[in-house]
Amino acid sequence: MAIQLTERAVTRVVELARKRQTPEAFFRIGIRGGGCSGLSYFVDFSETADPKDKVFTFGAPDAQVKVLIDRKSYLFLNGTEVDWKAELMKTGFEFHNPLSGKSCSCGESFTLA
Amino acid sequence: MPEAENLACWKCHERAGVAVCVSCGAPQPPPPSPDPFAVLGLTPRFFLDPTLVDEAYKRLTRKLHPDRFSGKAAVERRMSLQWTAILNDARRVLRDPDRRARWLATGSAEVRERGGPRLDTPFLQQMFTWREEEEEDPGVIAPRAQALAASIRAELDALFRAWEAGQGELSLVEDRLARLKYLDGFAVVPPQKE
Amino acid sequence: MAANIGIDLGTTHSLVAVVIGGKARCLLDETGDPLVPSAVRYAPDGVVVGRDARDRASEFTGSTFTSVKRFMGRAPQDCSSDAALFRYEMDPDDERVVRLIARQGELVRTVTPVEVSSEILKVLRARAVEVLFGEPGGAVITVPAYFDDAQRQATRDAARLAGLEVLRLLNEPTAAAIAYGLDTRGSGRFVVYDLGGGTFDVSILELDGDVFQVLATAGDTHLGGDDFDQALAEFVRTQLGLSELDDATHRGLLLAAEAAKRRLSELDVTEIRLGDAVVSVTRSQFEALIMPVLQRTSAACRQALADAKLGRDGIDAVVLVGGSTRTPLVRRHVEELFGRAPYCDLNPDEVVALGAAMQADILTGNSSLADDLLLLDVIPLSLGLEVMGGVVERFIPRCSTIPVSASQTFTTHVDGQTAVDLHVLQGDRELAKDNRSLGRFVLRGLPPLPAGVPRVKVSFLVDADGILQVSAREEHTGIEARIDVKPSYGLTEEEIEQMLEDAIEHAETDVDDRMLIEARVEAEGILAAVQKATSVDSGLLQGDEASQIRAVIADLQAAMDEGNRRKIQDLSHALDAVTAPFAQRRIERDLSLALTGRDANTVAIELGIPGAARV
Repeated sequence: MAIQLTERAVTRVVELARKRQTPEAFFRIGIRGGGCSGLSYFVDFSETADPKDKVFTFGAPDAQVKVLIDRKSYLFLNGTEVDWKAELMKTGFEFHNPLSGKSCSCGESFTLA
Repeated sequence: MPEAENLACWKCHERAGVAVCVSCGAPQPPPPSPDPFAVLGLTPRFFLDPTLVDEAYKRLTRKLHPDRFSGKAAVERRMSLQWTAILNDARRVLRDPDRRARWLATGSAEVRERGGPRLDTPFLQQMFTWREEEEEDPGVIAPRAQALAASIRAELDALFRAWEAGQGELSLVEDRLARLKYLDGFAVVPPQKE
Repeated sequence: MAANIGIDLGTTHSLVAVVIGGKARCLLDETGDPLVPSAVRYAPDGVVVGRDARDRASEFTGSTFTSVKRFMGRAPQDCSSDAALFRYEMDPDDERVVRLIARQGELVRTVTPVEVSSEILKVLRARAVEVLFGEPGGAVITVPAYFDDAQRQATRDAARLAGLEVLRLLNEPTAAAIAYGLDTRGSGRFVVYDLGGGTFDVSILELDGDVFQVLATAGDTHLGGDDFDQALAEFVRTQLGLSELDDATHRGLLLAAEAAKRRLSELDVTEIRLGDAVVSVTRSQFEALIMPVLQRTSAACRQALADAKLGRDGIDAVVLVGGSTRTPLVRRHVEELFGRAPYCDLNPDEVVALGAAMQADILTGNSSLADDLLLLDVIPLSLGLEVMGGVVERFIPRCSTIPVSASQTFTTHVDGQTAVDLHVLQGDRELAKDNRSLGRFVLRGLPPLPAGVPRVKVSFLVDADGILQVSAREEHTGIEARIDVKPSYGLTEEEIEQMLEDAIEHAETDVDDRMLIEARVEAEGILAAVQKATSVDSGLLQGDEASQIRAVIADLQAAMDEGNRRKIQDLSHALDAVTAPFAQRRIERDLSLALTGRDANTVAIELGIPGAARV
C-alpha cells in the first residue's frame, strides 16, 4: 500500500460515517495550500470520486473505508501513514510523512525543507 | 417606475432594470412610497383577476425574498427585506376589494386619520338605532345590514365601471367604504368567549 | 464551503441535521441515537447535557433542568406555575428575567433559560463539527410557530451564546411541511398538527409548484406532551392517596409517567411504580385523562381554518409532527377534527430537524434540493400599540405574510416634547393588559416644537424570522428619531454581551468582530511566511516579482491598520496569488531534493511544470 491507515484511524472513520448516516461515503485525504504559508493536510468525506483519484481500501468488509486521494496530493502523500489520536490536548487525524520528516495534524502548516 | 429602468445598478454599474438588477441580481433601492399596482407591474384597475396578482407577486418574490440573499452583504439583505415587505403589502392591497378601491380613490389603502369623509347624520343615526336593537337581540340586524351593504357594493361597482370606461370619477368611493365599515360590524356572529 | 445545519431545539428532545449528498440526515451519537434529551444538569465539575442528565433528574432534582423551552422569553410571573410543576427554584426578586437556581450540595448557581438552552445547542454544534471536520457555516433553528417576539429573541440569544450563527428562525410546522413537501412533491393544502412536549402549533400551508406558503397558523405555547405526563402523575398520586411529594419523588413520578405514556401507545394496560406501590393504568383511563388537553387543541384548529378562509374540504392532507402524536387518541382526535386520516410516513421526532436542514441547505444558494423552493411564512400574532384607555390598536394583523411592514404617525401632547413613549403588544385581545407586552419604545431626539405639530412616522417591520424592527422619522425635519427598546421580558443586549465575554470559549462579542480578528490572524500568518520565504530564497525571485510583492504587502498592512475586513481578505488572497509562482519554484526545488533516486525532470512532468519535456 502506498499509504497506510492505522486500525484506530479506520475505526474512527467508520464511526464518523455512521454518525452522519453516510455509510457509502468516501474518505478523502489531501494537501492544501502551496503558497508561502506552506502546505497543510485535510480530511473530508466525499459522496463522489473523480476518475483521476487514487483509491485505497482499508478495514474489514463490513466496516470498510475507501480512501480517495487526488493525483497532485498523492505525490506528497506517497508513503504516509494516517493515524487517529484522542489525547487531552489534541484530538484528530495525524499524518506521519517521511517526506516532511515530522508528524502533522490537519490544518497544521508544514514545508518540505 | 419607468425612470428606474434607465438607472445604473449601484453594485455592478450595468443597466439595472426594476427592483432587481438584470445583470448581477442585486436588489435595487426600493421606492419610498410604493404604488401597489406599479410594484407588481399591473395597470391600475378595480376589476382585477386575482391570479394575475398572485403570478406577478410570486415572480418578483422569487427574486427578492430575503432567503435569496442569505449569504450576501448587509445592504442587499436590507433592501431585499424592504422589497419583500412592499410586495407582501401590494398583494394584500390588491387582493382585498375594499383596500384596492380605497387606494384607487384616495392613493392610500388605509383609512385616513384626518381629512376623511364625514358621514351624513341620517346614516349615523340609523347605525346608532341598529346598534341598540343589536344589543337587545344579537343577529337581528344582520339581514338588513347585509342587504344595505350589498346595494352599496353594487354602487361601487358601477362607479368603478364608469371610471374605467374613462367617464366619471371616484370622489364618492371613500364615503361608501366608510359606510361599509359600519355595516361590517353587524354582519358577524357575536365572538365566542375564550 | 462550510455546510449549514438545521437544529430542532425541542422541549423534550433536540436534534441536529445536515443535507449531505442531496439528502437531509440527522446526526447520531455513539449509540446511533439522533435525539439529545433537552436536559441539563449543573454539576460541580461542569455541565452535563442529554441522556445522563435526564435519566438522573430525580437523583439530582435540584440541579437538573428539563423542558426549559417552556421558560424561554417569558415573564417571571407567568412562569411560576411551570416552576412549581417542575419544582424549580426561581429568583423571586427579578421581575424582568427568569433566573433559575441550581442547587446540589455545595453548588449554587443561577442560570437563565437562555443559558440552559445554549448548553444543549453547544452539544448539537459539537456533533456537527465532529462529522463536518470544521465549524458549520450557519444554522437554521426551529421555533414553535406561535412563539412571540420575546421567545424568538431568546432563541437567537441562546444560539449566539453557543457560538452559532443563526441564518433563519424557522417555524416548526413549516419545517415539517418542507420535509413532507419535498418528500411527496405534491401540490395542495396541508394541515400540520404539531404537538410537542410543551408547545402546540397548527399551521395550514399551500404548496404550489415551488412556492410554499403558510396561509394561517394558530396554537398554544403552553400545551403539550408534558401535560399528558402531568395528568397521569396526578392520577397516580391520587390513586395512592398521597398528599404532598418531596421534590425527588415528584420528579421521579413525572419521569415514570412519561415512560408509561409511551408504553400505552403500544399496550392496553401498564404499571407505574412509586417506591413499593404499584398503580395499574389502562389505555382508556389514560385517554380520559388527556382528553381535556386535546380539546384545547380543537379551538386553535378551528381558528386556523377560519383565518385561512377554508373549510375541512379545502384540505388535501393532514400531517402529524411531534412525539406526542404517537398517542393513538391524538391520531383519532385529529382524524375527527379534519375528517381525514393523518399522513405519518416520516418519523415525527426527526421531521422538523430534517426540514430545518433542507432550508439551511437552500440558504447556501447552491442547493442540490428543490432548486427554487420559496418559503413564505406568516406572523402568528397581531401586533398593536397601546392607546388611550388601555385598549390595543392593531396595525399588523395575525397571519400576515412576513416580512411585513406598517407605519403609524404620532404627534406630541406638550410643547417642546422631545420624546414619545410607545408600548407595543402582541395578541388579539381587546385590552392591553391581556396581551403580551413586547416592549416599550421610547423615541428620543425629536425637535422641540409646539404640541401637535411634529409628525413622527414610526415604521414597524417584522423580518423573515418573525422579529420586530422599529424605526422612526419626524416628517417635517427629516430627523430620524433614536429608538431605545426596553424589552419587557428577557435579557438586554448588554447582558448577553456580558455573558459572551464571561464564557471561556466565546470571548468575541460580535460575529463581525470575530471575522475581522480571523482575517487579521490569517493575514499576519501569510505576511510572516512571505517575509521569511522571500528573505531565505530571494534568489528564486524573477523579474519584478520582488517589487510587486512589496506593493501588495504595503497595501495589506494599510488595510490591517484600517481594520477593513473585506480589504484584508482580498489583499491576503492577492498576496497568495502574486507569490504563487515563487512558492511553486520553492516546492519543486525542495521536492526534487527530498525524492532521492528520482529524476528531477520526471518530477517536473508530474507536477505539470511547463517546459519539462518527456525524455
